[in-house]
Amino acid sequence: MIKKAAFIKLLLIVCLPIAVLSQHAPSTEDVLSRFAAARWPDRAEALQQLMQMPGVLKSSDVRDALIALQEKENVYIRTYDPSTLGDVPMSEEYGDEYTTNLAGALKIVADEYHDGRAVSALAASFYNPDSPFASWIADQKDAVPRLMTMLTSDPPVTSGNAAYVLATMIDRDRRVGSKGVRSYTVMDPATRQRVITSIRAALADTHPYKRDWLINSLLMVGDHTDVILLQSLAKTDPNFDRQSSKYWQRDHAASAAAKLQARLTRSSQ
Amino acid sequence: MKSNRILSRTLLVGCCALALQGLAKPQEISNTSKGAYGYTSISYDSSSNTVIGYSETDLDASLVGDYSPIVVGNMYQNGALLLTQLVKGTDVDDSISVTISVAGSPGATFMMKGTHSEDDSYSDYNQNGQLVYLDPGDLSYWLSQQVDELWSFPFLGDGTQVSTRSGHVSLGSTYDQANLTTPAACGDQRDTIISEYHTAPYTTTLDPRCADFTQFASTTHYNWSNFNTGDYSWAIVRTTLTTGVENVVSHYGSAPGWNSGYRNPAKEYRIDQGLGAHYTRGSRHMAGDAADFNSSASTWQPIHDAGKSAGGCVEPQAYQGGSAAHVHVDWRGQCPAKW
Repeated sequence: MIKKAAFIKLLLIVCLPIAVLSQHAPSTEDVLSRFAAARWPDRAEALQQLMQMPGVLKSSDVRDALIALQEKENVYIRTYDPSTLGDVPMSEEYGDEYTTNLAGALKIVADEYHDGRAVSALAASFYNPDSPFASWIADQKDAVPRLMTMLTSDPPVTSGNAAYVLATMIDRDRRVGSKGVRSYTVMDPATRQRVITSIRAALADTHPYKRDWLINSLLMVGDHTDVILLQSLAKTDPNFDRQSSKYWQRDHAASAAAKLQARLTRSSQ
Repeated sequence: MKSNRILSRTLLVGCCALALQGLAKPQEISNTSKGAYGYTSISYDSSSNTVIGYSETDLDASLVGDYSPIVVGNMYQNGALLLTQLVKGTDVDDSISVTISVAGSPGATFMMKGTHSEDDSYSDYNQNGQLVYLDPGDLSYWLSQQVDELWSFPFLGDGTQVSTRSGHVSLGSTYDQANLTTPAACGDQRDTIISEYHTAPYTTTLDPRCADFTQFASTTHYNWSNFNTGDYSWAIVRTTLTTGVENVVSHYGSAPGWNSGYRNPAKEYRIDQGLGAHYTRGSRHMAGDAADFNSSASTWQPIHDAGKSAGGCVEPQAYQGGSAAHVHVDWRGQCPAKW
């Protein structure tokens, strides 16, 4: 009788979970195929299901699919048109939940599997350039080429963001080894110079958001040339806000010029 | 030969004595089960207004194969029995559980009582009219089970019959219980608003209570009609919001125009649907700690800076489809990593 009981027990332990799983759990392939869905809520749901599968990131196919998904979102968000019918527009949920979850998964791919493609894809995603996420990007050597491309070729918002993250990288490169700063550099001197030159050139951009972040970038990494540039911008920036009757970017540039001048004076003493 | 017979009888008695050690000893009736234990819990899910009772019976690992766990769950509301459920495992289970869900009522006390026991898995053995059964774990309180004798040997000889027990032979039980009282009703419009948070299609991830709502909030630069942009005369306006927006004003240098404050779920749903957007079920506007300030291409960044300086979480402009029409700032505490 005991033998019979033990046999039934073994049968249940081995066969039942297999039977249940094979009937109800979607396979990894099924979930990954839903990354191709046209509607973002469907992609978000597939991601959520995927991340509930234990140890799923061990598969290189899954890691590749996640990187491809991030690149897809990077294109989606750059071509997004709120008036377009047939798709579900973005909302706080897109930024708060879905892309945050995706970034969390890819950060693991970058940190634990040292996959530079994940870093590159994340660098091109949407974020505030002064966010903790952007600060993490600023420590990633693999992000440099992508950010350089964004700075020169992206629409104003992401281009301005890229400028500020690249400036943060240069600032940290200069302070390597200091307290709270990484112990390695991410840019060679020639690249650093190219970044600064590109930031200066971009100051002529017509988008005030972009100019605001370029001003912040020069405040961080500029020299005496940039003090003059900022002082000039403080007099000539064209954007006037009727509601507040103010030239916000001029004020911003004037403040940055004064701070940069003060910092350069302190460091030369 | 005689000494051999004495020796064999001695051995027989010895063997029988050893075998008898495995038998359960007659014991007094007790409420305590020797092999079964477990626990009972109760919880309230306000999002679905459901009281959930859970009880689990566990068996000692050494008993699995010979005994089956049994659990009985009883759910009471204000002392009156609402529901009973009995679940019996098989002799391969080391635990078994029961979950009872009932609709919550405002201000009611619910109790889940769980009774834990085990059942002997072996069939009866009827020997010449005498009912015996096997209890290798020595768990029996068999005198109370109308069982004449305990049995621990393989079935032997003629005239024996194995029968299936008509009912289970309980080997004693133990019980425990857990209580909770559901939140009281507000008794006014707030009950309607709170129910929106838990009702499809507005269902949210938030769980407000009566005390979270107010009918008045005002600061130096903003008034009640700014803070309450919902459908009702009650709204959630957190002090982190009222303090935060005034700090934004300080950092910005003047009061940015106000676009939106608190929204009840139905209002949030209408706005999102009107935009053709996916319903933002976790919107901080429904949590009462978010403000949307009017902005333009020129002022978006300065208001963003002021929001951050005021300790707020600021939504990236990139998520607004390239529009600089408003700056969303909220004081949820832990901001999303990309904000």
